[in-house]
Amino acid sequence: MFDARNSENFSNGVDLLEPRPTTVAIQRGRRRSESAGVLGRATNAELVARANDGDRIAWEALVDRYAGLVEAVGVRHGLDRHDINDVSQITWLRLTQHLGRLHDPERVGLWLHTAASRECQALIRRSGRMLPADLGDDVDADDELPDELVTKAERAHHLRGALSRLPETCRTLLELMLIQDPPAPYAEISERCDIAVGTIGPKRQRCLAHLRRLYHDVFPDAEPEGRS
Amino acid sequence: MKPSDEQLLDQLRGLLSDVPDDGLVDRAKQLWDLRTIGEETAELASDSFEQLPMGVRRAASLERDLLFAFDDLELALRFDGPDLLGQVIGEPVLSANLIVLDASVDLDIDDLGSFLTARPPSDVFRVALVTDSGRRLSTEWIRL
Repeated sequence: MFDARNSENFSNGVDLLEPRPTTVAIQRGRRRSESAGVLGRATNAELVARANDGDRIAWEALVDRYAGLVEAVGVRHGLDRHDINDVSQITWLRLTQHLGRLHDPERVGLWLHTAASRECQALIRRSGRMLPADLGDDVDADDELPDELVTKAERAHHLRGALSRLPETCRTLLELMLIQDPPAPYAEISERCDIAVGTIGPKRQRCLAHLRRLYHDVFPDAEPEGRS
Repeated sequence: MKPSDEQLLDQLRGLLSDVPDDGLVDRAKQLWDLRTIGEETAELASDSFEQLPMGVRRAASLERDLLFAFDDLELALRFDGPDLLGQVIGEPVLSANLIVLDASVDLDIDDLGSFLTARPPSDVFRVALVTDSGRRLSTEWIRL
């Protein structure tokens, strides 16, 4: 019967898995962008093709790009953390099997949204709970919402990527102004960034302008958007 | 109209508060190790659980029939208490494995294409087959 310790049972060349918080969101985003390397700006179709050819880095770039989307689908369905992890796991597992069969690899985000939504709904049905009132059985019933969620996830990913490509001083300055609530006092920003207090305002403007340019490279027709 | 710098900062805060859980991202990346190569993948064709009315699904959850179709070949699975019964119909099978995330077990298939084994210890699994003609088939990953 089942015995994970019995390696003789392991089959046909399958590599088997031994599954394994920073406090600042930007730091997490930066780490992920670095893990994806130059593929962070590749198109979805390129990432899917490379992953299907066995490129693990391309796979990781896909995960970096859409992990938040899959998680958001679970949150939207009212799942707890444990269930969200389960939904994420089965959704990504299924993508490993479907990489070579996607009708439109560029829309892999929408595929993930649909797969995650279906799994959320199946999980809710299995548990005997009711679906949230605004979610029907048909994942496509809410028209453009999946596309909006996918676009939001893509923009968030590219925004984090743009932040990671800023010079260190700019990145630190924006982090201090973005993450801390209330924002760090100018004296602290001055000390951490090694710039005079009087130059913080102009420096911030230049950093934001730089960020806009980096972001514009990826989304030429859009400004960063917050959560609606 | 382009947002002001303050508006842009607010928007950045909103986006960056949405960073996915680190553990979830790391686990998804590691699933790459479980990808299937050179296998035909069959999606679920039928699930008895989905045909039950809402109110009786929980009570019936220990018994469940799943059917997978691979062109001219079908794999039927029945979860019945602690047992998993299966039958491959349409082509003789050379070998079969039940695979979970961190383990795999050989399935002993008889001349009729049937097998009986223990219900997998994990809710997530797939079944991989090699037919007599050399085809390598796998069900998609399933969550019970």
